[in-house]
Amino acid sequence: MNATNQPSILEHLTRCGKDDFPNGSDYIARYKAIETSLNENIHPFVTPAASSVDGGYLTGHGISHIQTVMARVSDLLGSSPLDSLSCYELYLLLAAIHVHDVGNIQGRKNHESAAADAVNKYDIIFGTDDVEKRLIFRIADAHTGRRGSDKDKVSKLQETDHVLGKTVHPRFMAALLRFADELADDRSRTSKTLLDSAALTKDSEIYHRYCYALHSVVVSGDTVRLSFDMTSGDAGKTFQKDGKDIYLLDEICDRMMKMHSERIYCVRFFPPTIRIDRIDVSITVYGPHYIDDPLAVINFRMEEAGYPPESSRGIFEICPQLENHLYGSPLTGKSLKDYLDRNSQ
Amino acid sequence: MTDQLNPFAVQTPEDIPAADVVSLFVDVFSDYHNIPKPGHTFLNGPRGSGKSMMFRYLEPDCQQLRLSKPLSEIPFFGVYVPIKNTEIKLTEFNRLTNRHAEVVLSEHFLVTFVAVKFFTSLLKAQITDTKGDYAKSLREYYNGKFAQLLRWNGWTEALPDIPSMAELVDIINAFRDVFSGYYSIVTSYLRSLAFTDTPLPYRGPLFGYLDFMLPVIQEVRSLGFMPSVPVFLLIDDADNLNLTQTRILNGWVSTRTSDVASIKISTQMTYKTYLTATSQAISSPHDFNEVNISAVYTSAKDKYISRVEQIVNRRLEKYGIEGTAQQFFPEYVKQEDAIRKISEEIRSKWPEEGRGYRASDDVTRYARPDYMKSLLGSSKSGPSYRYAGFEQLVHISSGIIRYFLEAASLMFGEMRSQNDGALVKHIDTGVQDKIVREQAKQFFFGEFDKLECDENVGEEGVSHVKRLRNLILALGGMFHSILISDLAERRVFSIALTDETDEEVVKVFKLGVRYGYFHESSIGNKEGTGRARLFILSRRLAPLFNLDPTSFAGYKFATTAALKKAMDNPQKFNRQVGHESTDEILEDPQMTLFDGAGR
Repeated sequence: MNATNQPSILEHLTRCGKDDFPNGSDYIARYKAIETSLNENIHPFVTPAASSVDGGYLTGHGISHIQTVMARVSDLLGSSPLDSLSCYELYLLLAAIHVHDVGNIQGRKNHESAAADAVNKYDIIFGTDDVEKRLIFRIADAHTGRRGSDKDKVSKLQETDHVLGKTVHPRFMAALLRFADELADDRSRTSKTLLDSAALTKDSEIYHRYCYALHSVVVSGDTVRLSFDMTSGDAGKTFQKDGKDIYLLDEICDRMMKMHSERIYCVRFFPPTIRIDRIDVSITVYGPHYIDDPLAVINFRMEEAGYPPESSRGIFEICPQLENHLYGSPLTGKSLKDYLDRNSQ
Repeated sequence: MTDQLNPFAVQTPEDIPAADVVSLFVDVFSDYHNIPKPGHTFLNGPRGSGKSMMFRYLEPDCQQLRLSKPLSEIPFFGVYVPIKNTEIKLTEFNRLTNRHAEVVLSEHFLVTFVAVKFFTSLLKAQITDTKGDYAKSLREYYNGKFAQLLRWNGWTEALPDIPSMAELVDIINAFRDVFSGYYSIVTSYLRSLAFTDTPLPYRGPLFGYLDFMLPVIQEVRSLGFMPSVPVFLLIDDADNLNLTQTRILNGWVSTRTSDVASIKISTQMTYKTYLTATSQAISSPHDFNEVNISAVYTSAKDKYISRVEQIVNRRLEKYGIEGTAQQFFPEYVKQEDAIRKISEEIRSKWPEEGRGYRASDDVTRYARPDYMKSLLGSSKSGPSYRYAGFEQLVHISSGIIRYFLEAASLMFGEMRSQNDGALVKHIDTGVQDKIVREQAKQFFFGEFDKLECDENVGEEGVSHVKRLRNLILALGGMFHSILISDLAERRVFSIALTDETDEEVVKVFKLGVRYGYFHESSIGNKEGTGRARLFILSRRLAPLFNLDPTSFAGYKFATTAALKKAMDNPQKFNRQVGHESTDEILEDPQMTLFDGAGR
């Protein structure tokens, strides 16, 4: 059971029958083999390997993180996930959750694309169809990064596709994984012991501080409720990030803006039955120790409201083709006039 | 007998050596300035309008010769990708529809196909590598980043070894062989689907354009032997792609990556869709520029005549035939003298009887039609109008260069056999006339028989093709009646629709456009409130209906209801034309075709 005491998507998968899967194959056994193999051979080593390649100390990317992402997906799908996803899609999504971060084992850069390479040696347990395998990796790949210069990776997937005779919804699965991963950056990815140890480098500490501060994520109806806490000591000092000093509250606010954008982006690909309209944030600052009374409580809500904000670069942000146009670069009233004058001579 | 070569023989552009392309090709890019510039472009034109020749000209071997520059200094690197039914439009893909990853497998298939062509272009470019540095860097890429990219895309098997002493050409060949192998994996897989109803697992790599093809192009380009310029993927005859492949290609166009790869797509006006595989629409000018060859040349006929003249003069020169296009395709002097005489009469009577603002207007409008009319009374064995003379032949080719060259080639062959061994220095007017008349008959009767096998049956049981044939017969007959009438404008070749109430009529016209029987354009509507569709009859049909091909300015407005009746019964329509005003028939069909008989 997950935080909301509903069966998890994993439990739902185990209730499916063979007929729910392509060619009547035993996908439940296949999933268990994947889980066992990755839990034993890859997940425990992702964080230390990535830290070794890139330096610093990555927040947790092991089994615990995979379980958290699954729990968040279960929360987002609610009590009847099979209303939104088929049994086969549950398998694909669970497999994608398992592989979404394993590319980190070769280093953080492009980790989302390197997943296939990292698990190629486990070829047999991933099945014999490369289309199905690729779909799993594509769903996983869309959880972060860019394709070319474009961050909009989910749209590059099919809305509906057919794999081995079954209808699937790649965009929805990818958006679910992406938003669930965003919600999974919580206390389970780090530890007090680690924060107090000397293992953390200055550059990675702020990421651990953020995770540690986020102690609760609850999906309730159309609202995600996030609860942070921090000591006054952590609130009052700065941490290093990209060569600059930053307070923990500022980091939380930056991350909330990103989460707000991710919510707007991902929900676009959800079916109408799943609505996430807002994120409620509560930040509590305690005294030097967590058992002390709160010194400050900050609550805010992030939702789309009012008139859409205007972009700083005006129309050129939305229509980049007007920046380098046949009639002027950028195309303005003056450049159009100049063009017309030149051509009338 | 001489072994004089035919200067007008039509060859597949792919097979023409670069030197011949550069000497024969007339640079038309001042008319189509978007094509040699970075950016995605659609080049739309009927078969034979010179699209493939343009693409051949953009290939690196031709560009190096044209500019007399090494590969490193040419402004773009063209990769010719001909889309032929046999290679790419495999019916086996239908077996994947709604079953197994049709889009993913189709994109992979297209990418491997384009990759094979990319490495073929590198071979064709004949890159020199005297020190072996390029071979070394390409081999390193093969064993390093390329191998990694394959692994990222699910391919676990080892690549074939490249010997350390291999030359650049061998390594490029190795790349080409690798992709040919992947291409074969897909075709074998598709064929295996024929034997089972169960979706079979696919074992092989799966490449996408953004995550595979572009990185390969970028990396190979960065190795130093290619110019640091955009690669132009010259996708020729993209109409031959199936619907899914078309949507995938549109997805590539939507990526706006034209600094790395600009996609130039030629179509024969039957491109299947402008939607991507993810159902987003691509549009001009946001995602691509669009060039319509027939629109350029039907709106600027002098430009077309000038282009054909340059093409003919180049071919005559290359094949050692002295003289100009006009001298090689002479006019029928007796006929032109007679027309000139009529012109003088019109000019002399213009102050009293003139209809136009200037005498020259009346000469242009009436001299040739009056001459054609004067021949009608003569017996079958008497004189008939001759379609001869360079300009008249250019008009008849209807904006499509291949039609001119094919007819010219046949004329040359006929003339060579008539000459009994002597060199062909010009084409007799009788031969010119005979061939264009035969060509017009073949175009109408021969082609229609083929079309009838292919097209669908319309709503009332009469096939669209039959309706199109009837429509052409009705309009051709009517245009001839108008030509020999006393109307002010007699050289009518076009119909403007006053309404689009009957969609079937528009569909039949569109079918005619697809097969080159009509050109589509637009014109201000009668009310002055917008535009109306204008369909111009191909002047290739002028000899069939004894029409004057030298102008297409005249048009008639018609309702779709009237045209529908013309399609259903062209004989009745033409009988009606013989008795009543064409304007009444075309714009008020209820009154004229049925009730009007008693008026």
